[in-house]
Amino acid sequence: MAWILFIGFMALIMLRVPIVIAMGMAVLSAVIAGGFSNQLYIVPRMVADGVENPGLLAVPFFILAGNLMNAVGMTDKIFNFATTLVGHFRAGLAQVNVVSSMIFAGISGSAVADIAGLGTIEVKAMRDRGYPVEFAGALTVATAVIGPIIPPSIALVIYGFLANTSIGRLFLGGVVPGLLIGISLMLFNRYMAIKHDFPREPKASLGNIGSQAIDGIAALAAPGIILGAITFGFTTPTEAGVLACAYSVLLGALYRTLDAKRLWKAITDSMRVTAMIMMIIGFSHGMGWLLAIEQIPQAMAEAVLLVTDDRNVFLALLIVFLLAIGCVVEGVPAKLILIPVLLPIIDHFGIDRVHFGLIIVYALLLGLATPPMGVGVYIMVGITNRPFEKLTLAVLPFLVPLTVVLILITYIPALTLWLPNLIMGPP
Amino acid sequence: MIDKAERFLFSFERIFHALANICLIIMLVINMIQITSRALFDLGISLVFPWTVFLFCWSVFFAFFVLYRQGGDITVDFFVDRFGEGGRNFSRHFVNVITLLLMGVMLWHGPQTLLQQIGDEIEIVELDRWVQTLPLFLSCILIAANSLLDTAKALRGDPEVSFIRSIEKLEKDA
Repeated sequence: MAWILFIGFMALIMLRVPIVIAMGMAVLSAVIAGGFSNQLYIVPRMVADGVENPGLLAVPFFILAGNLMNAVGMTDKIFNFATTLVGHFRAGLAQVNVVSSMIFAGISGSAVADIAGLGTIEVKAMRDRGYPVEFAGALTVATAVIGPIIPPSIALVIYGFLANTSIGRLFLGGVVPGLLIGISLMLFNRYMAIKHDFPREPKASLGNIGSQAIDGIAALAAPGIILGAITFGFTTPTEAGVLACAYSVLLGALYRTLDAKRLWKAITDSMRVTAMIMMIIGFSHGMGWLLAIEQIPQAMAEAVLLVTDDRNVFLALLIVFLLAIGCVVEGVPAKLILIPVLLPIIDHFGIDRVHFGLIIVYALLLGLATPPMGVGVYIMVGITNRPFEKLTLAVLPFLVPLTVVLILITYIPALTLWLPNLIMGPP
Repeated sequence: MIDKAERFLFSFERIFHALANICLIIMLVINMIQITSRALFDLGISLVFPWTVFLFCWSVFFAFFVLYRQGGDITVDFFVDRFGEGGRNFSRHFVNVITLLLMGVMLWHGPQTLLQQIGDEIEIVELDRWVQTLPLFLSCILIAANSLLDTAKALRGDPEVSFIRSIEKLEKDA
């Protein structure tokens, strides 16, 4: 039954069936194959129950916060601020791309919002300065991975709900890995700049840095507000998302850049993405029921323990497995399928759930940049009008630094756990 | 006939679109009131949380139809694209058949789900749970209708919808 679920889902995806419908149809096929064809009423019931989920109320607000920041023009301000900071480095605009994504990640929890918002500005600026469009597009897809790692993060909210883990700890746990990803991409850019002689931007004057910083500081303040509100217990994660939205609207009012039309568009875009995520979760609610009935998690745990009882070998197998799955299954359904299955094994090896959360979220995120399910590459094809194959080839070198960081995060738990333990105390 | 059906679904798209957005706006406003009230007066409002959950479900269920009307769900094109225009045409019909099948099952068993929820009152909101679930089935009806309409449009030779922005479009808009 589990195979029907997985293979059915993959086959439908390959035939261009939209992801929500593919998930629904795969679950329906598995229900029938499992001998429950006389109980198909569970499908709509599970969808209704799966969406009615207080643990995921933060999702639309963090999506909206990112879209509002795009709508009020904060992406331009972030880009300009990052240009004054690092534009004069080797491969200046490439470094600006990384730093902009790191700042934007502190407001938005979505890689797609990063590509759709910053991506268009970044690729256009880099193209105009003579960078190959494929390189610009590939770098933008790679830097978008930072979005769901640096808090806030929609992916971590979903993981926290599935693994019954503190969202505050997960958000804090993402800070150091997010910074590491940024640094690794900047080092890689430097290497590429030397190899291809990419241009630098003129060094900004102190006055210019100051004026851009005043504009950009508003964006830099957002992660502090969100993290502080959750960490110190002023708000729930949902309310922190609401605060982030209110803050974005306030900035729009201050800069006089947010009109009713833009606000409406930001809300519409957010509702569309939220509906997609929540309907995938709704349909996969039935899948969780099937997995539990078939005792798949227990069987999987037993199978893994037959292969190895060594924690390090298990972690190596885990990241190879997650990278492979990330290539073929989109992040949300992949998490919904894998987390319930993997948690018993994670607990058996004594791996901290916050640590595992960052591993699984980050490893699956790399699928954003890899075929055939590379959503980031697809969006970039739309933005640049370059062929999917060319952009995919251009993205591949960036997977080297990104994978190195994944290995570091996996084998050095302190990189993830140090900050949450420091601020919130040991679990 | 096709154009009439298109106009009919477009009207519903606008209504559902507005309803989904309004639900999200109300969620934002009531939660902002909650945060302010707690910060200033140390007073939590018990109505806010259950109504947020209720409106969240409504917004997702209403937006479900909008998502499909506006071609907003993720699809993987590269495999089908290898088979050229014929492959894309086949997959467009295939997707519509699959969508109709799934929506058919949802709608066939929808009344049973709604009947089970009669009398199951949501605390504080004081409405039966079926009121919360009803927009899901309304969206399913409209998505099924949209799939039928898209099949007819495909046979007529109309192109598919897509909403991804390109740099060229962005420059044109500017």
